[in-house]
Amino acid sequence: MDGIIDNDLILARVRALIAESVRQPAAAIPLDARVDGGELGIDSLGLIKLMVRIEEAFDITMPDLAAPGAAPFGSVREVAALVARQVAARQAGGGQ
Amino acid sequence: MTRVAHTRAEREANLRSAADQREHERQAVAAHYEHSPEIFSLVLDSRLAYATGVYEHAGEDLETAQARKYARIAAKLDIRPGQRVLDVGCGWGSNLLYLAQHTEGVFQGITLSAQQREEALRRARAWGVADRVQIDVCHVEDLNLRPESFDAVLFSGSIVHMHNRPAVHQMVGEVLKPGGRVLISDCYFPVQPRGDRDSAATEYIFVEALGYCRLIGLAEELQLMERAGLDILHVEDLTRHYAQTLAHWIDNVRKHRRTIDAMAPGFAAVLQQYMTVARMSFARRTALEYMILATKGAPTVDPGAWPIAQKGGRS
Ligand SMILES: C[S@@+](CC[C@H](N)C(=O)[O-])C[C@H]1O[C@@H](n2cnc3c(N)ncnc32)[C@H](O)[C@@H]1O
Repeated sequence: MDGIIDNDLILARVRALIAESVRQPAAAIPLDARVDGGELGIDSLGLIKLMVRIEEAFDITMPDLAAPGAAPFGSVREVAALVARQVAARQAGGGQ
Repeated sequence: MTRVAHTRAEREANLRSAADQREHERQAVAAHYEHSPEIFSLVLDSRLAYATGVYEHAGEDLETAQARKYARIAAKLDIRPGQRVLDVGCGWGSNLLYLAQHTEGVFQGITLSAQQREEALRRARAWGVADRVQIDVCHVEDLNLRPESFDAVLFSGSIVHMHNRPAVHQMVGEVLKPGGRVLISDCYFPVQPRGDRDSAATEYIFVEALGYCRLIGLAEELQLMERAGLDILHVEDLTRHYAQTLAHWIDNVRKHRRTIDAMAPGFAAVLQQYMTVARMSFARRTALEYMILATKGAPTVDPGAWPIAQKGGRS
């Protein structure tokens, strides 16, 4: 994804990717729903696939799911905020 | 031995005839390895090991860890001039060619993938060892070898793809000469189930990404080896090392995502996804990686004499 994108756009795009992965319309995905808690019906494979889709879509690296003490992903809004930080870091020149 | 199927894929395999299962493996397993070696060369070390490395330190790179692993396998197999070595599931020749370059043995490899055979032979020629290397596209159960004709047999990351384990071990027991060694490096389930073996993630890695995998318990494998007349010499756990290897592979997939997808659309995601499932399984020890060394008759190597680093410096 090129150019500067703002946080609302990122939130909408992340929500759309989540909606796609559970085959629901985006409107059916509450922004406060936990992504990894079973609330949206995303199992462990679904979560991995979603993270890869997000990495592809935003050209970023998401946190390592297998790291010891890896933090859970939280809500749709929190995942989008995480993505926004990674995108900002990349656009700041650098990296991941 | 009671045959408890651990996964859905294994239950399905049990319903097929042996010949049908063999044919299934020929097709389903080969599909993954038939992808361009160019793709794998972006992800793996320079010798294209598609198996765990051995890390001494957390910060080590993939190339160093794989080099240590080749040397470790070479030391364990202890191949003398003129000895004959069979590499079952030789991939692009990682271990086989290392051993050909570092010993004066004579090598026969088999793989299910014509692409892998071609790449391995190309490397054998480039590295000047082609006269001691033969590689065939052949299913392990179709091998027709003379009894007691090999000094060493190697399975690195390959036996997991083979459903009919009793037949495989029987073959090894027969083709090894007295004093011959067999080394297996692969993935096992803990005996007490941890995690869901019928989960979508398990099905994804064992079937969708890799075609067919059958993980059994370590003790089951060891017992099959013993029944085939082999003595177990040494077993070591490499689970943590595989988790670390996978982290390096995953980073390489990320780095080359676009190039990989240009060559095989969607394959970068398949790699990253299955490797992440595998990395999490090893990190949580819901799957375990072991390296097993066994011998037929009196051993020519002595694991009791191998050094183990002393803690605390002074001895
Ligand atoms: C994960 S790769 C490992 C390659 C190599 N041994 C290494 O360590 O780099 C698995 C290999 O096993 C081979 N293989 C799997 N099932 C096989 C079978 N039934 N007969 C022969 N080769 C097989 C595949 O073709 C592939 O080359």
